[in-house]
Amino acid sequence: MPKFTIDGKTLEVAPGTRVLEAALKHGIHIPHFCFHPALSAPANCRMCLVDVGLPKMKPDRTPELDAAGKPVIAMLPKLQTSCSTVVSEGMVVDTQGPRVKQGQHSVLEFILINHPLDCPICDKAGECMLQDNYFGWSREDSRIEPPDKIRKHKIVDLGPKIVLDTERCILCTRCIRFYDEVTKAPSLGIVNRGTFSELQVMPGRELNGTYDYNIVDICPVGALTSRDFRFRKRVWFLKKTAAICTHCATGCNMTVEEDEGRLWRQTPRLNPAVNGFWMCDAGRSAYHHTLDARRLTQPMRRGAGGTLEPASWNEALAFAAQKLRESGAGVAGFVSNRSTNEELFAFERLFAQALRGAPVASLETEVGILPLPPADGLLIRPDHNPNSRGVREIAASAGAWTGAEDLLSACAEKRIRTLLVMDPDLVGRSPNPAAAEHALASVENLIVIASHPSAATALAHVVLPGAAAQEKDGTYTRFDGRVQRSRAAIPPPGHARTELEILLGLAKMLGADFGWTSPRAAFTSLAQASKFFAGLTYDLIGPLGAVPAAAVAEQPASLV
Amino acid sequence: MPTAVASPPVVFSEAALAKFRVLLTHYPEKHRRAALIPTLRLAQREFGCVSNEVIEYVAGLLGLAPVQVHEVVGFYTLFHREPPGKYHLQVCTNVSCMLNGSQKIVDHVCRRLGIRPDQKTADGKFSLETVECLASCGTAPVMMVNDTYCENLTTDAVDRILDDPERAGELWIPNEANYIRRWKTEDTLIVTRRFNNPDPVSLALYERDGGNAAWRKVLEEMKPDEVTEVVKQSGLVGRGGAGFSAGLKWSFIDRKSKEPHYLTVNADEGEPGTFKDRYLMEQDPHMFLEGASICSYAIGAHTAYVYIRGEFGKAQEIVQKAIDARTAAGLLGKNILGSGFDLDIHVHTGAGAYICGEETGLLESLEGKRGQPRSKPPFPAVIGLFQGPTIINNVETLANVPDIIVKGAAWFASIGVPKNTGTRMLTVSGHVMKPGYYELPLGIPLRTLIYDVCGGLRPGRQLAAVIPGGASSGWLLPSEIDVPMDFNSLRAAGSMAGSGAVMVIDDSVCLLKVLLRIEEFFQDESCGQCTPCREGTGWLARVLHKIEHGEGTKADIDLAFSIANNMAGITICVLSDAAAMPMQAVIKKFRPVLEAHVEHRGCPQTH
Repeated sequence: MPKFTIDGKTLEVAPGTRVLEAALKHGIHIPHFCFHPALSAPANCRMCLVDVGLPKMKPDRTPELDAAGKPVIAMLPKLQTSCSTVVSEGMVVDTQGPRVKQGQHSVLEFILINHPLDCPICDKAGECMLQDNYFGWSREDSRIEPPDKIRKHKIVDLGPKIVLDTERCILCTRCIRFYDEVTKAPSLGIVNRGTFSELQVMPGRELNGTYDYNIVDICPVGALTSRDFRFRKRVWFLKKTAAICTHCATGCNMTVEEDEGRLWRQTPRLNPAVNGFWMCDAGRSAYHHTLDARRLTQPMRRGAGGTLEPASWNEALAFAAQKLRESGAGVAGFVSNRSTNEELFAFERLFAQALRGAPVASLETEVGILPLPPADGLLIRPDHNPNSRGVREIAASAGAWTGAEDLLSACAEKRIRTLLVMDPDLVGRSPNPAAAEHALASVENLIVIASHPSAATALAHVVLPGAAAQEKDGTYTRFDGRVQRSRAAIPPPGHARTELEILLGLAKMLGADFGWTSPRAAFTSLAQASKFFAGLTYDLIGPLGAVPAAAVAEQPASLV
Repeated sequence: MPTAVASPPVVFSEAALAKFRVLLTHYPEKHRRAALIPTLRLAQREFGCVSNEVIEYVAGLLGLAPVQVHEVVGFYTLFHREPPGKYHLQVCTNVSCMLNGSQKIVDHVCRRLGIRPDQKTADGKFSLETVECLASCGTAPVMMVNDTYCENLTTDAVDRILDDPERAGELWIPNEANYIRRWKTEDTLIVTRRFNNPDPVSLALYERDGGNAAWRKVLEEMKPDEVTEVVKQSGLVGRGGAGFSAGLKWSFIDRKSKEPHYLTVNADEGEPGTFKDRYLMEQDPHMFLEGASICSYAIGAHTAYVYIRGEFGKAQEIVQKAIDARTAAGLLGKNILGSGFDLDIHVHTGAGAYICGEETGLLESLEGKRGQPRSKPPFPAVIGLFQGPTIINNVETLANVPDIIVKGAAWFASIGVPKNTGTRMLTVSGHVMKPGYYELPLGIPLRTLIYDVCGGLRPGRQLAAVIPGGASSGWLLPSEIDVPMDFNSLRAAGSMAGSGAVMVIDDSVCLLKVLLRIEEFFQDESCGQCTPCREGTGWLARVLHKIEHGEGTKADIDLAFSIANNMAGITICVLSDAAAMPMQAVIKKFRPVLEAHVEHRGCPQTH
């Protein structure tokens, strides 16, 4: 493990560590642009220059010592880029000296001379590395007359998702390397040379892949903008919440960004064990599903005329509870692999404690609620649901649940009078939608908890409006067993409530008390009830999730 | 519905496919991409230009993403995205040609054809492009008509050529500068000794003149390390520009590496004012190929590439023929002369990019990429071409090697000055009576070179400045020309020996105009990867342009100096430093010239 000294601090690092990585890890910020921890380092921006010295060696390859017995350090004649300099034993690095400052000033000036400085209308403003580095390491007046700037192409469509501003581009090649090294599908390149260099796609082709929005995140400036976010919102108004994407079993960690209760953007959140720095475009764009104007926001009951009519929560819950109570052995429930562990546990408890152990089933389906590209070996998995593993583990700890097919048959045969459904689209997601629809239509009392309308809500006698993923707290169990926590970024719309609140409301009306009400307490109780979750708590899960002891052997290698 | 004009499908003919398959054999199987630039050149000949369809086709042939081909095409100037005229005229406008009236040639062509640079005549017969140094500076001004060089141009010659472009090669009148110039007959000649022999490709003639003796001696009697040691002892330093000890460089080869070792011959001569390697290859290809063979043996390389500048069609042809002759004679190939040593040498052609003369830019280019220099370390001797240990040597450097082996290190070291031994080809252009290339012992004073060797200045003219080592070198004042022309002395004088290109400027031209032309050259040739060079070269050129055209202030002079200072020493390769050096030298030594432009609100000198 080589030891080196940086700004007087001695650090020990793993062999092969680059100076910039070591510095950032230890809180020494060296300004940079082209360096990205997940990509190769071309050292092209030249921003991260530092002074480097190496111990002078005697002919016998031992360090030469001075009178005080300290190694004599020979400084290299030129500044070095810290992103490409590998730490070696005895190396001395200075990030603060006048020569370093001069180098940093020069590079920033060169980057800025042809930059349009259109920060007021730039989507990157507020989270721009150029702004931050200028503020931190330059603050000098421009020495170029605006008319002397080189004009390039301001609006270049790179495809349906990405717009390029070549004047803002600093040619750091992060986006090029993203395709070359991460998706392994080279898609961008630089044409021409020198001051006339420009980022381009192959003429006649466009960027229309599965991971394109990631280049907007890693663009250090506002050159690459997302059509979905461009000119919509100033980033400094956005409040950020750590959440989990629910559109496949990968469970990419993400940041949900909102202002005044409205979602504006979802961006990947670094988790080396799950998604690294990235997420897929479909998952990122899925917040539009939450914004859907057709959302269910009002409890409803089928009225005398046979149509669904608005009801108060009290009326709707009381009616549902009454039917569940009255139906005796003719009660059953459907949960789904889209629910949180806490919701599944509450549903299980409701049926065990208040409904005499009435049967519960869950569709074993990989169909989610949004179209997603096929599994690709990168981040997208074949199962487009966030919690199939959670269903399996909670069902197992509860004793076997009923098969979905059997339960639907029981409904069709009218052996089930009252059915409580907590699946976003039981008909559409089932292998035989016509049979499922027939089954639901055969039930006397169909109670559906859902955030969006579906074939099931159309048939329902009671609709209890639920929350979308960004609107609730809870945990999901990833395919490999890792338990990850997602937090509510915004409240549910209108009169909608979280599923946990709805289930607790039903429990109360049915006279059951689980001894907990919050998701945190629900999880603690689950961890006591289930061997699989044993030992875990919200505190242990933290921002990056936790692996139950039972799943340690399944964990894949780190992505970063 | 508009009916589309049926365009022929973009598919190689059988003949082109056969050539493509041969190209593929030149490179390791897992580095097929190396064939990209030669394949694109083949495609351009086949299809007339490199259109999007051609890019898609070539990408398919080599298993690349189209954008990877697109960015390579966009880097090299010899690729045409649209068909040029039947006769594509490229007029050099770099310093040596500029000093000899290239602007008049450009203007004349424009007038005659009614087009401007980068345009094509309506009938599609001619297209015109102004280009950077074509390595024909002793015979400036020069123009290429397709692949044919036309030198010593006058407007009369241009008229003759435009009237009958098919015969362009015969219609200009060569002057004596095309013949080897020797100053004193008793001087030792090494690399130019066999110039003007009737058949440069002939192996029989080469051997009659003592050729291949060194190659045989090495294979029969010497161990690889002994060869390196002799070269080290000879004091031979690289003739490409940096002046680093050739033998020492060879000794750095990473012998522990499991990857194949390579020699790459740098024949990408492009430093403005330099025109030695082109002639070395055309006049005596065997001598440097023998040197390359010896070097390959010393470093354990079984494959060598000669990376020849794209414009040098004639040199490519001659070197290929010489390689074929050597292979046929058993001097290359398997088990050479029964020694058990194998070596193949391949010609690899560039496609128009000055930066590919930088050794790691050259390696990137050879691997089929944009010629962007690599960060060092690792140095090529450790990780070079195709990840293998690689030595890159200039043509002239290698041409010296056979004589060093035959006549010994001490003989070579006795020529020149201590630490800078041997002879050197100096290529003199600009305002001297006898421009041309001269092989002279290292260390000859610049004054002697200009006034005795090259016949001095034109009558009635005063010396204004000398650029002693190519466009990248710092300029010298007339008072500084007693400096000896070796690497160390020129370095001590604050300039550099560089590529041995001496450009002499008299008082008939505006020095700022010359400097601006140089900075425009660096602006055009910066690869664009490092910020300071990409942005600095352009900014410098724009500031100088303002001063030259009367829009500058004294503050702009200081600004230019500051830009140059800020560009130096902080980039991956030294192109940025090369752009800074002339600027710094001019401001230090010729500041009054710039100030006069500010005071006169324009160029005070009309000519």
